[in-house]
Amino acid sequence: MVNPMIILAMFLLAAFATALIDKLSRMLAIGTMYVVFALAAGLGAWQLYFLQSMPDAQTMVYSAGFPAPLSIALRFGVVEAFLITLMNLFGLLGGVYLFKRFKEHGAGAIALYLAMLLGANGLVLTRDIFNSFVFMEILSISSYALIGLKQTKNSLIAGIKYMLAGGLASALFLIGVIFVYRFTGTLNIDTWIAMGNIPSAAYLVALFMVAIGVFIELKPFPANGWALDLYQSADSGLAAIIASVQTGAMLFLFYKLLPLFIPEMLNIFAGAGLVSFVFANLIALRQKDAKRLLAYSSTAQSGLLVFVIAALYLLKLPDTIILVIALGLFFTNFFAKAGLFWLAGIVKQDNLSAWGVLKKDSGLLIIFGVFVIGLMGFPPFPAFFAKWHLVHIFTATKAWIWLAGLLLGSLLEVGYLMRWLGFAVKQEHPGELSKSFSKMLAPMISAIFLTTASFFLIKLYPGLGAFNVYPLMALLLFGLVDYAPAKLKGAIAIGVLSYWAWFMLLPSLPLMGQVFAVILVGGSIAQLFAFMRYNGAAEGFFPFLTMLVFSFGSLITASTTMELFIAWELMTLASYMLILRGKKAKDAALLYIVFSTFGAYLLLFGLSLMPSTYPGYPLILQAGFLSIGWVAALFATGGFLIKMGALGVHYWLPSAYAEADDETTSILSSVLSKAGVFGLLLILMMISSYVKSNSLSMIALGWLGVFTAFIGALMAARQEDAKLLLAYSSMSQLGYIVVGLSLMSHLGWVSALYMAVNHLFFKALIFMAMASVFLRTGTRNMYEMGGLIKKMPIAFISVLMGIIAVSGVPPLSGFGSKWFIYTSLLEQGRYLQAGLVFFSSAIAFLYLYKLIHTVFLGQAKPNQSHVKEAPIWLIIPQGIFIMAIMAISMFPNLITKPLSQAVGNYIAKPDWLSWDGYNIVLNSPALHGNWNGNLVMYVTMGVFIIPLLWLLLVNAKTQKVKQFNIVFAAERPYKPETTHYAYNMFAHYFKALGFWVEPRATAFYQGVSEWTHSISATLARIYTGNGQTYILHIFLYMITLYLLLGVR
Amino acid sequence: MSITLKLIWAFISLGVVTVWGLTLNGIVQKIFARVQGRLGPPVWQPFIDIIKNNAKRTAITHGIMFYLGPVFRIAGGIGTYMFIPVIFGSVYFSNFSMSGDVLLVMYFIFFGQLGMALGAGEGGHPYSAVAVSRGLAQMTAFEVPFALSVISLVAQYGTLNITEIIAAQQGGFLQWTLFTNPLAVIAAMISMLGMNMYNPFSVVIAPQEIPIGPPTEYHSSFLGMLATNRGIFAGAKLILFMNLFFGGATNLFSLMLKTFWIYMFSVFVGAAYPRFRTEDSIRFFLKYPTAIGIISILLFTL
Repeated sequence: MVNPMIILAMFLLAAFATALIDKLSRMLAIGTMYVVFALAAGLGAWQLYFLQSMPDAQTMVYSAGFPAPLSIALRFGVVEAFLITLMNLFGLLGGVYLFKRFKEHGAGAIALYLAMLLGANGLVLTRDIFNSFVFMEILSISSYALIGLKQTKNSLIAGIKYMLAGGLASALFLIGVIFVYRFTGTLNIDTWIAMGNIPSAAYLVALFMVAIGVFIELKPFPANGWALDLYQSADSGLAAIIASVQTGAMLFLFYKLLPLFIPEMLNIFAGAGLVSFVFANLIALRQKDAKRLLAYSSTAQSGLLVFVIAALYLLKLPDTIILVIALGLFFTNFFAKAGLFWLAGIVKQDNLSAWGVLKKDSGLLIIFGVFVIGLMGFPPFPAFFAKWHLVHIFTATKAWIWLAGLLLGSLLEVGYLMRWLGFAVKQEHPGELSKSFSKMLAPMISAIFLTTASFFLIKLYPGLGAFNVYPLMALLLFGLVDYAPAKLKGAIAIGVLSYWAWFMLLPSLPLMGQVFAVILVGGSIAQLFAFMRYNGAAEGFFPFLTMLVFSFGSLITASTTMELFIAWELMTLASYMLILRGKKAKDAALLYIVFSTFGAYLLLFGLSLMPSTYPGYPLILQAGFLSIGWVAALFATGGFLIKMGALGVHYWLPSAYAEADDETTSILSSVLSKAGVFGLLLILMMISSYVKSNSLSMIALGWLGVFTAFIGALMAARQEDAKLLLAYSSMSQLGYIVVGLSLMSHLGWVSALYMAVNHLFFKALIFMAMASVFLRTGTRNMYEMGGLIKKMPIAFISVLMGIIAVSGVPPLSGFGSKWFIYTSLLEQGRYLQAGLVFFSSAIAFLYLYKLIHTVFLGQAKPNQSHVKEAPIWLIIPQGIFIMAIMAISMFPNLITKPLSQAVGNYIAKPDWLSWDGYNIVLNSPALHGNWNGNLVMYVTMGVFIIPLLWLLLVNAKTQKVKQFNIVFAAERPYKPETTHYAYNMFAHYFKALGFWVEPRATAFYQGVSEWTHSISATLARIYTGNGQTYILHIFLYMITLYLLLGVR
Repeated sequence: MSITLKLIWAFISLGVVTVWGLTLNGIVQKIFARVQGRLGPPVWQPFIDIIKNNAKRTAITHGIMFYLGPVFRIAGGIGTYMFIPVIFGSVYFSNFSMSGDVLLVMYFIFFGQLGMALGAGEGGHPYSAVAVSRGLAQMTAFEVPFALSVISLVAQYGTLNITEIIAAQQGGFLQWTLFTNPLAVIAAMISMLGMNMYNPFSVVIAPQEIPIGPPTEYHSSFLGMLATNRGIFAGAKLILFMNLFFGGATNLFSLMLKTFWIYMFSVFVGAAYPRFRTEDSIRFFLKYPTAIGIISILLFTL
């Protein structure tokens, strides 16, 4: 084993020798420093390796060979070794980053930097409380001095504030230590712990002072004004080290002291940490300055860690679990936060919106993305697993307030981090990056290290199948070849995905899973052709598209709740990235990810309440046997409904659909929303043992679906932007699926699935056709188009087929949807819901006609005379979907029978539902009915063709007239702008029914946002920038905590 | 019955309804004229118009969709008719009603309307689009009470099958839905006023302005086809109402009698009332008839 004294000695020696070596050569001095860091990290790693081979080895080392009370004890166990390795690695990276500063300032700076790391290393190793004080001081004093090196007014002031606060904290700590010594007679932490609690109020006060001394150094809100100013004005390189190494060392000290604390104290610190996490994140929401934002974020994260270790300790969990969770969070945070500070030094722009300069280097942009997404706790980063387990622990122990705080804080965090990412990806900025090898190295290695570690984590995580890794592998591999032409990448993607879907995915699934595989994976693959229309590389599509499709696969095959959630999060992430790619999608994408994350947290909570499943068997197979409680079902349903855009939580949907790239929107609408359907169905299966069609909850869900359909349709009829129209139309159609699912009957589920398949076909068809139109006309406003039938006949035919299918007019498959939904509703006696469904489906005619008329019919605009048919790549998916619609319209059994069979595995097919050839016969006691889609098709063809032949016979020689050749008040109108009846087409309708579509959801969510920002701004006002005020804050904070402690 | 025979009978039945529908239209024109103090055209004027229009030699077209518009329209009319059993108990006059139930009929009605709207749209005449927008808006509203009344029938009879609904009304006129479920019938009959587009719901075809649009663009054999459909479609709708609410018909005579009087209801109201604006008719349909429809459902469920 390694004697940890060597590490400390090494630092000390190097720090003193620096002055001499610097005289010889500055480069040599810097080099020596780097070597020391490398050696220290190496020793840590060596110790880790050693302990792994000899787990029972003695890890305690005593200075000068005496036992504890006489000497200072150091411990070099697994955790210490891990931290020593990590911190010195960071010391090295940070040192490389600060290379220029060292070169400029020489021995002084180098020695201070070494001293700082010495303090951190010592703090981790020591088991002696007074010794801890010494290392704390070494760490702090060297930090003040280093901050002073950047000789700006702000940084000097910040250094002073830090000194004041740090001095106060140290003083409290020291006084506390003295008093505790008075009671215990020793300074050794382990001996303290062994002595247990001393029943004396004075002892508790002393202990509290020790604790608060450390806690203040961890920058809790609101006693952290000094830290915020420090982070903001210090050199980025230094801030990175303070945020990671210094905080890490202090946290570990806090952790060491935990066994001393009485439960009330743990409770107070857990609460204070949580408050810090939530409120610092809340205030961060409003920050425009990147480093100030990072400052808030750092304090929030250290609050989170204090909260986590104190809370878990209070819950009496084993040390290993506490450490694994805390290290999971810490590890991610360590790399990501330091990395972001480093990037801040490269970007050199204070304003968040100026971070668009990162686009100038796509490598840096990716690194930035890795840090931000890691920090938010998305899979596969360790923080994800930590949060997953935290939620499960809090649920199991019914710690609801902690759970709520954790999720609320995390949601706020997602808000500002994603806003930042949005700026970096979308905002154009003319500035320059301050790039140099020394500066680039640290963030680059951090990102690579973090990603690699996360990748292995998810690969090796117990109980996770191989399918969970595919999305990430796809992201990585397609990311690496993203410079290749889009057509090549598209062909490869289609080939790989088809192979995987056919040979690996489908065989592993039960019939119901296969249905969803066809919808989600098959539906996506068919639309991938459209992305091949791009000339050149079209960067940013294929990595995320393939990731999305693979994550669909892992969603369907998920066999545990964790696999399900990982797939869900990866899917959300991929779709977010795809939305963000849209030209003006910054705000829309943010809205999407915030709503999605909110939904994901609801889902996470719901999942945490679920019983364990059988790994290896898809959930969709197990769902029939599993049973979950209604609370779990309620929350999970909430999560899935958000993804489906149900009424009330649909606020994200229109803008995300509208602003994403046109092909992406098609996938979002036709495919992604069905992932929500999958989830909802899964949940309903798991409650089917005790929830029936006539349960109040299902009737309520039914009404939610019906009103989603109704309001969605009304909103659609009001839009002038074709994509918004289609977005609301999707929302409306998804409402029908919700109604069908809510019936909890064989027929109801068949109706929902039939609708899901059908919606995929017709919505993808319409979106693809409209994508062609947008591509050629360059506008989405329908009233700016007109008469395109002559220029783009294929797009017209697609839209025509699509709208017939949407509206439910026979003989196309849409009527099947309508027939199933009405019969299933009526069969269950849901008469009024059926009535409102009918109204909604009638309203669909309004927007569908508006769509096809204003775009393709009426008067053509002169400026669109150049418009021609779309490239073949957009036509291929249309062809596929037209054929699909025709096939299931002509031969409905192709789809109705398999769906009935799939549903039959969960809810048995009733005897009264039968197939007589193509005739579906319903003979239930409550309802008789039938539908023969095949015969309807023949009759329709007959009644269409005979009049057509007649017309061709009597009216063969028609004369085709040119545009404007109409009889119009005895004039010929030459201005299509005034002749084309398009804008606000249903004004009369909304005069009568407009009150239904007043933007209530918009008002509500804008109110929420407004209030959040106002509270955030109000809170931020406590930070006056005055050092004395900050000291007052610390005092008041300390007194408040003490009073809350309630020690008598 | 063999498919050939079925087809032949379907043709015969189509012929019957066309003649009867056109005759009814002629009678209605005459009645309106008399109410307005005019002499009016002869009852057989619709037939003359159709023959004349089909014989015209010149015709213009605005494009393929325009050309297909009337085809869609008449296909919608014939198709709707084909899915309705005409005479209860008669294998010869049952058309292709085994293809589906009343839902199929309700949705097939849209087939012709949608196709015609598209065809007229390609004509490029603003009045066509104006009329369509009014028509669609009004349609969404009047379909609500109608749908509610059909749902009420389901609650009452437990079937969507039209033949079964007629069967349930056999055994004397007191068995008709009119007497067993009067609220549903009231809702449906009010809704029918909207379907037939006479006053007060005539803003769709607004005789003073809209005719400059579609009927002028659609001339010659196009117009002939549309006029023919007017007969077929009117007949189909009347027979549907007769089947659902007035006990169906067991012979042609009873069919003619019942459909005549059902039609006269819209005609009398139409002749007596002034016209609503679009938004007014939407509000109207969604208020009283909808409430009546809901009550009729609730009466059968509670």
